[in-house]
Amino acid sequence: MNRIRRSYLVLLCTALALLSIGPVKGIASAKQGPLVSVDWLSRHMKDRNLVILDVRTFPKYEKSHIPGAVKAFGPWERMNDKFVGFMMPKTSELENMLRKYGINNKSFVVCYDAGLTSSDTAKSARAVWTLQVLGHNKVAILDGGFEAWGQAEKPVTSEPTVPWPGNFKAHVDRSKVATLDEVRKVIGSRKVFLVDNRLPEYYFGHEKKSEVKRFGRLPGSILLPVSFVTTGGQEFSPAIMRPVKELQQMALGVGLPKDRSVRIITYSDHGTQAALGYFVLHNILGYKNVSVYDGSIIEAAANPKVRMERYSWSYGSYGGR
Amino acid sequence: MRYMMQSRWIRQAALFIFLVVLAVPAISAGKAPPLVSTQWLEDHLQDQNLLILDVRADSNYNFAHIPGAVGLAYKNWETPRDTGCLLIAPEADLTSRLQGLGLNNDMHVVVYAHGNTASDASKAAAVFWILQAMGHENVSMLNGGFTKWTFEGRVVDNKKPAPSAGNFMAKRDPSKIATFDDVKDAILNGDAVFVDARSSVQYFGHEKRADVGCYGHIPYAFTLPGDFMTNAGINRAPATIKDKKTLAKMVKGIGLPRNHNTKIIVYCNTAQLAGLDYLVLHNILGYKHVKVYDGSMLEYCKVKGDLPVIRFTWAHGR
Repeated sequence: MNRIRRSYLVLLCTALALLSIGPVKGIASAKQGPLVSVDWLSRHMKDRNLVILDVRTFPKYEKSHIPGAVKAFGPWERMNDKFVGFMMPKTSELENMLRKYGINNKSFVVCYDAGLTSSDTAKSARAVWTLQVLGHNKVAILDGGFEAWGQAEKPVTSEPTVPWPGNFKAHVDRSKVATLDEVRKVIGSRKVFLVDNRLPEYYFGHEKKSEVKRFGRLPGSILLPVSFVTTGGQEFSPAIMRPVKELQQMALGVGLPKDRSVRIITYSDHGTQAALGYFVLHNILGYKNVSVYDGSIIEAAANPKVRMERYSWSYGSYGGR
Repeated sequence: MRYMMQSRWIRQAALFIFLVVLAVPAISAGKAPPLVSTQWLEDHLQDQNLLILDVRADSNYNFAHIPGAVGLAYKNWETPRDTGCLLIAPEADLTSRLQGLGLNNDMHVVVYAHGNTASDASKAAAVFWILQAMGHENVSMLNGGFTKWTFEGRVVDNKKPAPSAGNFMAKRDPSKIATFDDVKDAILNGDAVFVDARSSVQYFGHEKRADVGCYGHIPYAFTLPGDFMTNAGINRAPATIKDKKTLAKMVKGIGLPRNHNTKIIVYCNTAQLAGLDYLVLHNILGYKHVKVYDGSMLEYCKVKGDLPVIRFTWAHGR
């Protein structure tokens, strides 16, 4: 009897303790994310283990940033040794960088960007993807970025944050990175879905970036422009992620299956937009087997052995009856 | 042997010249090519039977235009109505204005606008369509527009011609203009395919024009952005129309039926960009039954009732 009463008491105390620190000064939860709201961040800014990464450019950071945020421009991508394509830097280099940002293996990392357009969000997504490749899954993007923070009139500062160095150790997960060799093997495969995250005019081959050698796309890819996934720029909206329901509708609407176990490889011009494609498909919609083709079109188009196609929608199946 | 080859060569050359001679009068006889080059136009500036039509804003026309050109700005061709829609100007208005500019029924019209962007070119293309839809088939568009003309250093002036009144009578040709009822029938009965000339971003329903009431596209529409029809923006090129081979490849690539008897309804937001797709499909690639939905999305969203609008997919609706 006594024992039961005592265990009740313990339970009660624990519950009370949890309640008192929980929402206000709780330890940032690993289950939070993949998106956090301005409201959530403003309530959890002081949380132990929370690291806020500002992935905007240095001048923007120096002018004003979220209090406590670390200047984290990167480099998240580096020109590769053949000078075609921007690739994820070496693991050791990234480990050092992330430690300087104050990241430990226990840290919950929230990334934010300018938050005006989907291209901004893609910069955060690239950081999130990099961390996940390094085996760190306690990451989130601040929905709407710095623009949403500013529009909500939350406090900002120009005082740089000097973080206490972290001891982050990477456990690399290569399954989240696709190489040119792998991509070449799956072109034409009906089992693997190649997803082009650029704008329709690039996919169609009407336009291309000047640094990209050839027009068009990888044969058979599906078109899911990540500029469509946020409402950035519409009626002065920050780049807020569309509701899950709409993203789901889009994924099916562009030709992805409902089956969450299919193999998906995303790509764009440089691999930044592709990271946002990855983020939406993997972190938000729950497709389990998604990787980013890091070299992306800039690498593929420079290699004459890679076939590309142009002037059509995929298999001519878009539109019509 | 050598003599024989020569004679065969001569015979082929003669045949070629004969065909060319045959082809030239065809232009004045009512079979105008859809596009004329700036060089062709300069060579024909003095033609009595040619009406050069500038559809840029009045201020542009007054400042400088191609010598001999008359001006009727685009805003006079598609006019706002009480319903909030933009529709082809009434027959009587077009008749009186074009007669005032000296348009005769047997004249060959060459229409031009600015030529920096696909949107510029679409103004000329939309007027091209309206003239054909008003019964004047004998019309061409100046490829590359005023931009290409001036890039090439050709002469311009600011003199206003004073033509004697023409005898043109505007008469709507229902085989070239789709009304909402035509659109509704096509959706419900499936006897026509739709082609959406807006950007793919609007087709997909990620964005829309502010005054258009709904996101997405008409069911069963193919996306063929008018922007893709021109070379504008590629290495600073003016908005010339892409070559026929490329256009044919694109139209095949989007999956449009290859049968040229297919009934097609082209639309956009206000029937301006649709002009480009009309010109390409009907006059360059030879689809015989192409209509432009005059009301386009601006009207469709206002009056569609229970008819669907499809969003967030590239595949066909429902």
